Amino acid sequence: MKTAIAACFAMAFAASLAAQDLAETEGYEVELPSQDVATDKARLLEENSPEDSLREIIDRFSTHPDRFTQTSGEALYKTSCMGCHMPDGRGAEGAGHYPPLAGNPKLVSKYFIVTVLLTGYHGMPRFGDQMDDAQIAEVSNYVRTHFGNDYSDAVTAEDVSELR
Amino acid sequence: MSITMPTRRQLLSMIGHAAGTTAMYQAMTSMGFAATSDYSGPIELAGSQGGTKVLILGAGLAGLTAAYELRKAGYDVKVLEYQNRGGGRSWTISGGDSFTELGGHDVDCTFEKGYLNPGPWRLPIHHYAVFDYCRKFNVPLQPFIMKNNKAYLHNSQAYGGKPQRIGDVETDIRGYTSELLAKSVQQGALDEQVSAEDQEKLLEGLKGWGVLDKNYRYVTSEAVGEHRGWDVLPGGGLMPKAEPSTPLDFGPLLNSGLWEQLYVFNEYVHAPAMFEPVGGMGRIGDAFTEQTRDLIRFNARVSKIEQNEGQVTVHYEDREGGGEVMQETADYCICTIPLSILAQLEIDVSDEMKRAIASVPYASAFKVALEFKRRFWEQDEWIVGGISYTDLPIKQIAYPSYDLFEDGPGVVQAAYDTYPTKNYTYTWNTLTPQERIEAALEFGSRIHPQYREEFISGTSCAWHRIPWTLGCYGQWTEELREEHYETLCEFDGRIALAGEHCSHIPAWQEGAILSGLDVIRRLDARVNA
Ligand SMILES: Cc1cc2nc3c(=O)[nH]c(=O)nc-3n(C[C@H](O)[C@H](O)[C@H](O)COP(=O)(O)OP(=O)(O)OC[C@H]3O[C@@H](n4cnc5c(N)ncnc54)[C@H](O)[C@@H]3O)c2cc1C
Repeated sequence: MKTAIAACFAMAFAASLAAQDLAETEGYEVELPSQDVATDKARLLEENSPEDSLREIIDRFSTHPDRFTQTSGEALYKTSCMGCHMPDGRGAEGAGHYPPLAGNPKLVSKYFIVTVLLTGYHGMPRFGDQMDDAQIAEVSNYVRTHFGNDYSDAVTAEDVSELR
Repeated sequence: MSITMPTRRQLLSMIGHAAGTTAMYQAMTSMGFAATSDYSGPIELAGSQGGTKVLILGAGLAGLTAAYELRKAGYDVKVLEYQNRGGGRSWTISGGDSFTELGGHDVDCTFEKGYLNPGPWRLPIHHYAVFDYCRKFNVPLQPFIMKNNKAYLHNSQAYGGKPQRIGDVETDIRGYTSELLAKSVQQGALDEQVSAEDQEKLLEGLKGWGVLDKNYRYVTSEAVGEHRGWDVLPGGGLMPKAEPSTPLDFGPLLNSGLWEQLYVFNEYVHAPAMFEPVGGMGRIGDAFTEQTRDLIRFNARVSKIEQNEGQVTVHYEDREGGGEVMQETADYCICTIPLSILAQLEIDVSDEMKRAIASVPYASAFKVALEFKRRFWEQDEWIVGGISYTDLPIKQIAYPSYDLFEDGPGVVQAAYDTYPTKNYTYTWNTLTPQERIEAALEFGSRIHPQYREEFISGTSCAWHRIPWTLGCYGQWTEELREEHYETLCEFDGRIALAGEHCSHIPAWQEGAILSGLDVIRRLDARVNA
């Protein structure tokens, strides 16, 4: 199965995804399928062609190694926070845990999440040097209005700038 | 004439003449020259006469070093470990292995032979403690090829995306910088810094070092062929005449970004020769585990650490026994649980210590390994071992230093990054195991077009999805160290921490072992005070 999928990608895409294409996409916004679909590989493959799903994976990466180049809160979430807080924002549990963002009372204060992103918190690394003020604001707002969260006091780039 | 201080070298040669080499070595050490490790041979402990009980949390190299040595010195030792295996990050994934990562995806490995070292994979020679324990525990070692001049440097924006050989880039950089320096000397730009006599020597040196012609230019020549390689290799009999290769042009080379990819090879921790255990880095973790197996309670998830004047009590969940909470008491506790996890546990320590525990962020890292039908990198490209570097999100491709010249299948470490301040590694940690393989195949095939045709299977490790570390390693900064490091390493009552995070060599096994040794030395001194 794995081999077959890979072979498909090979033929269709090795050529068209030349390295230069990647550079030209600087500043793009990733249009991703809805949350559930993105987490469910089988359904993703059913609804998208293999080329689309490979493109989706490759486009998840920034086009610059030192800073995130995505601009929307959703794209930023899906290329960074999601690694630990998971696609559904529920975090995860192992020998320790990643706290859920879904229904997390600490998010009541918009300044809390901004500070955590800027400076790091417990084991969580800081993102302040890889996201600019607008990006920190976008991703904070995304988290505070998704996963069942519904806060209306939006974070602005100016708020972030003041907390830096 | 004014009196000048002797140089260090002059001083050393004076000592050497006067007192023989032992004095010379001691002098070198005290001047900070020869001292390369805090490891001064096997540890000697006074030992425990009264059966002092020590509870060790975590069965990685820090915990198991402490367990092995304390037991040897007569202590009553017990280890609690979350996983069903010992060794911690000293780990190898081979065919037949599988695990479930955070997020619920299974990672499996079906490699016929070959493996992925998801964490540690190479050993520099000055990590004396690691080598000493490998000797003691009979872990066979083999060379690890860090630098291979035939491997590639690759920048997708340079040379039309065509990778360049490491040896070519390095020889050319050396040639051009030598040529330019020679020019500066000849134009008098260094007259103030370098005497006329030394200028002669410098020019002579640059000519040999940079392979310059008689006019101090770096251009193709027989001599350049002998250093940089040939377009037509010297042959036998009536074979065609050898033709030297041609250096890359200076301007494009300077702008290619490839020079900076070479710096990694200059680091002390990457100096040749490097080594690796035969069969994978996990052999070290396994060896420590074999030595201490009877002391370890596996599947024990520590949740709470209490202490009072007289003893330490640790609460843990028995992961096999349906999560039943158990207790264990001891005179002392050495905790090697990564800070990313410890910061969340209830622990009876000072506020200062709690702040130290909570202060250290954990770096992100990931690796992907791919299995191919044949060793095309060797057969088609003559890259036998070594590492290629690229600006693509895979960052590097490491070719195996074992099973060389065999037919295949073979496994390459197809992607690895751990830069804490770069973003690609975060993105890899958001991908599912299958997506990581697809991405590694896609990016890698821009360097090795054979990838798709030869691909068999893949496996990976995204360190932020590993349930027992929640990241790769403790990412200290100078400021954080200044503020918290000493507190973190000091005893707090009957509890002391150890692990790579309690060392000045984070993300190296040597750091874990040295911190384990240091903490038991202090514990032993306390017990025998
Ligand atoms: C990507 C990567 C590359 C590396 N490269 C190299 C290299 O090339 N060479 C090198 O020498 N080193 C390298 N290292 C570093 C090396 O792996 C570590 O420094 C070393 O293995 C850490 O040992 P430790 O004992 O401190 O921690 P660990 O080995 O992590 O041990 C800690 C133990 O605690 C357990 N634990 C966690 N939580 C709990 C709990 N609640 N209850 C009970 N037990 C728990 C864990 O399961 C684990 O077994 C690398 C590491 C990584 C991640």
